[in-house]
This record gives sequence, structure tokens and C-alpha cells, in this order.
Amino acid sequence: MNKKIIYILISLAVIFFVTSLIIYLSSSGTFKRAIDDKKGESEIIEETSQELEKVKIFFLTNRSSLFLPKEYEIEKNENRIEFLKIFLALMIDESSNFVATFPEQTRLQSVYYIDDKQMVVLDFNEELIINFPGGSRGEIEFVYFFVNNVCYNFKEVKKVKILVAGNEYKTLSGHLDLENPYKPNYKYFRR
Amino acid sequence: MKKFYCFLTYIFIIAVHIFPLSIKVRAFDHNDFTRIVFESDSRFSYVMERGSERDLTIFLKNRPEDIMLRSDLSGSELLNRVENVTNGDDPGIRVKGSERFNILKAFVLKEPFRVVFDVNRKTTNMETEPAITESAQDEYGSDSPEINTSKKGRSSIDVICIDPGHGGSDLGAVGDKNTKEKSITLKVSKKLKKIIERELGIRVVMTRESDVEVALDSRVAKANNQNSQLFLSIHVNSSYRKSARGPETYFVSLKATDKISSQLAMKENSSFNGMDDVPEDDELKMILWSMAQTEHIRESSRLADYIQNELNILLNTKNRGVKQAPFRVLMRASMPAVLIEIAFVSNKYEENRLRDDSFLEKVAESIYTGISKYIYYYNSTFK
Repeated sequence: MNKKIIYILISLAVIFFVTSLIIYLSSSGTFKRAIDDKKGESEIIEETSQELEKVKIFFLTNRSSLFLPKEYEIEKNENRIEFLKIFLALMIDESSNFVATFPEQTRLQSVYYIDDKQMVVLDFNEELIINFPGGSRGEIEFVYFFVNNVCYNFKEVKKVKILVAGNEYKTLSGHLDLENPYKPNYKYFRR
Repeated sequence: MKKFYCFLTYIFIIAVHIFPLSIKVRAFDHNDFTRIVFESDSRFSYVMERGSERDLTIFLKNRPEDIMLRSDLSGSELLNRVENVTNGDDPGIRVKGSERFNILKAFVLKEPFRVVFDVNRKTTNMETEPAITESAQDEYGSDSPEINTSKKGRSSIDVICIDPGHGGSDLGAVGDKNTKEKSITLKVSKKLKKIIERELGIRVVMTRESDVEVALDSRVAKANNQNSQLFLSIHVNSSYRKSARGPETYFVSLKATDKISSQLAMKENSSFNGMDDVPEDDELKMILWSMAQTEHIRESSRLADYIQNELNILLNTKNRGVKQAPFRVLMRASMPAVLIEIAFVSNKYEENRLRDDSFLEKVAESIYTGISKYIYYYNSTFK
């Protein structure tokens, strides 16, 4: 065989081998594993952020005059104020599955935490006071639904103050004093 | 070094005598009460005592200084004299009145430091009773005022105040059949008034006699001003829990709220988000504790118990005991005070009963029986 032909064949074989190697690596080899590794990392990050925290919310039912507990899991949040807001939203949403303690149109406008007093301030919209049906028992159920559930699940909170539309009201409908914050009273809870 | 400490102690002893604690006592009459103010640049803790119904004394605790006393009673007809007194090592200030007076409330204000007492004239005959010592709870911790209320006695009960809940545009709770709390409370109150006056010959004061709106604070002010010895606030209950039923009798709970912390938090945290608009008047700066009702809690509990028992018998309900809650209308009452929730207008069965006049008559009779049992206990214990 002519030497020139041999060189051509060897060159073609090398080119074929290199091309094959590149195709192999790019389709299913090291490159793909590298991409998979990156995906794996992002999945792990997502799993970390979905860590859940158990809370226990006590609701009013027709079965008992005492509030009964139900457990929930909420996505963990290192920011306790944000976590409290999520917790309160859950309390309000889930109330529709139980006996409510506030009018349907009630919304929580703002939530504050006063650190040095270990006090949470809950500011409800005006509909609370406009549509509240009255009664001492009704007011007690409303106040302690929020005060007890917040203090029970957030040990750093010692008392809760209730405002309506940013204002301090003397009472909700003529009974319980609302000018002052409330400490929890768990006699209304069946623990 | 030892000599240095001796020198410091010597300087301190000299200083407390050279620089006495300056306290100014002022008193001025308002429409329905007289305000006594003890004002000082320096904060102090104290014990309040009453030697008689015509005087009020505060003894300063842990203050070795002499008191430099200034007084201005020109604004008051009730109070006519201020003097320095001592109790062992504790210096004190006594304010004397031309007539006997009740203490309605006491509180502390800051900047400058002030201890304030609101008092009003007493008009009833009093007899001897053992001293009651109560500790007021306030934010000042160790500076908490201690009250040693040596009342010289109690009169027999000759004025009762009945407060028909709600009224006017304040309908109170409303049932499915449009039964209005304000109408029921007025009907029962009128019936109760009639029975008490007929059977016991006791004068009954009503906070409202018609369908008018009366502010909560005015209701109890009327009871205080009329020197009522019992205060009964009549209400009809309601709950979203439709099965809730039965009578409930409450007396005030001062523990449930944290009044002092609240007042201070509102003031001290006024820069906190959303709190900037909170008005800062004297009321909000106060450390408030209702001494008036604190003094009567035990008797309020007993009165509530007697009434609740009678209502349980009438309505054939289980005795769930009396309850405590921080009711606005009871907090400043300077006499035994209870709030009676006759029945639940939110409960179909009980709403029907509340619409029946003969049932309301029975309710009034039951409350009357409870009151008369309390009066019997009261007379046999205190007279």
C-alpha cells in the first residue's frame, strides 16, 4: 500500500475518533452529569426552604363551649413577624370551617410586634365593629380566639392588643375593655 | 479606702438633710370629684393609708430625706389641710378633708412624677369594718403603691343602681326574630326596680329609663355619684355558636388586662409603626388601676354567685359558676358590681323565651331573690 494512503486512513481514523468522543461527551457524558449536578443542587435548595413548622390553632365549634385544637404545618420562616402574619391568615381562613368568632367581612389590616413589651398589636378593619353581632360571650370568644392562639403558638408574645381601623376603641360592642392589651386566658381552651 | 467610704456615707447623710425631697400637694374640685396631686421631681414609692374617712395619707418608702412640703388647696372645698407625718422611719403626707370622702381611683403620672387620687364626698352613714389591705399592680414593680384601706365601716344598702345595657342607636345583640337586646334589658330593669322598691324599700337608680344611648363611663359614673351600694348591669347574650345558651353572671377581672403595660406601651412605643397617631392625653400616660373595684371584687363575686344560682334554677341550667372578664362598665364602679347576661338571643329557644313578658318577669324575680340573699348576707356580716 502506498504510504500516502496509509497516512490519509490514519488521519481519518483520528478525526472519526475525536468527533465520536465529542459527540459522546456532549450527549450523555461528563457535560450531562455536570448539568444534572446543578439541577440536583437547586432541588436541594428548594427542599430546604419547604421545611415545615407545626402550629396548633384552637377553634370554636358547636360541640363544645371550649375552643378545640387542630394541628397545621406552616412553611418555616426565620422572620417571626412574617411567620406570625402567615399564621394569622391561616387562623382567619380556617375559621370558615369552624364556628367563626368575627363577622365574615373582617380583615386583619396590620400586625405589629412591640419587642420590649413582648406585645402583638392586631389592627382589624372597621367591618369588625360595624358588623359585630354583640354579646359578652361573643366578645370574649373573639378576643380570646386571637389572644390565646397567638400567645400559645408564639411563646415570645406575652400579650395582644386589639385595634380597629388603626384606632383604639373602648369596647367592641359595649362589653369587654379594649383599651388595654390582653394576656392569654387558657380556661377557654381544651388543651 | 475604708476612710473614703466613710467619707462618702457622711456626705450622703449630709446631702439628704441639706436637699430634702420636695413634694407639692395640690387639690382642685371638678364637677363630680376632687383631684389630689402629689407632685415631685423625684420618683418615689409609697403606701397609702386611711386613718379615717376624712383623711388620706401617703407614706414614702425607702426615702430617708426630709420632705419639703408645699401645698395649694385653694381649688378645693372638700380638702382643707395638708401636714407632714411619720410612720417609724417613713416620712408621710396627710391630706385632711372637711367632710368624709371616697377614693374613686388612684394612678401615677410621669414627667414630672405625680401620684394622683380622685375622691368624692361620702354621704352615707358608716360603721366599723376590719381593715382591708390590697396591693395595686402597676408597671413600677417595686414602687407599686400599697393600699391600706382602713374603712371605718359600711352602711346598710339603701341605694342600688340598675344599668339596662345598650339603648338608643346602640341596639345591642339582635336575634333572628329581630329581638333587640336594648329593649329586653330595659324591660327587665324596670321590672327589677319595681320589685326591689316594693319588697326591700331600697331606692333604685337607673342609668337610663327610656330608649336613649348612654356612654359606658357615664353609666358607672352615675352609680358612683349616687353613692349606690350595688351596681347591676343587665344584658342579653349572643354568640356565633348558636347552641350557646344559659344565663351568665360576670364580675370584673382586673388581671385579664394589662392596663398599666398598655398605657405605657402606647406612650413609650408611640414611634412604633402604626402607633404614631395614638393620642397622648393624660389618660394614656396614666398608670391606671381601678382601686374602686379592686376593693369590692370579693363582694362582687359573692353577689354574682347569688344571682347566678337563682337564674340557674329559673332556666334549669347547670351551674357553670360565675365568670370573670374585664368589663368596661364594671371597672370603675366603687361598689360591688356585676353584669348579668340573662340568656342568649342568638339561640332560637332562648330568643323565644326572651320575647315572652312573663319570662322576663320571672328573670327579674330571680335577680331580685339573688340580691336579697346578698343583702341578707351583707347585713348579717357587716352590721
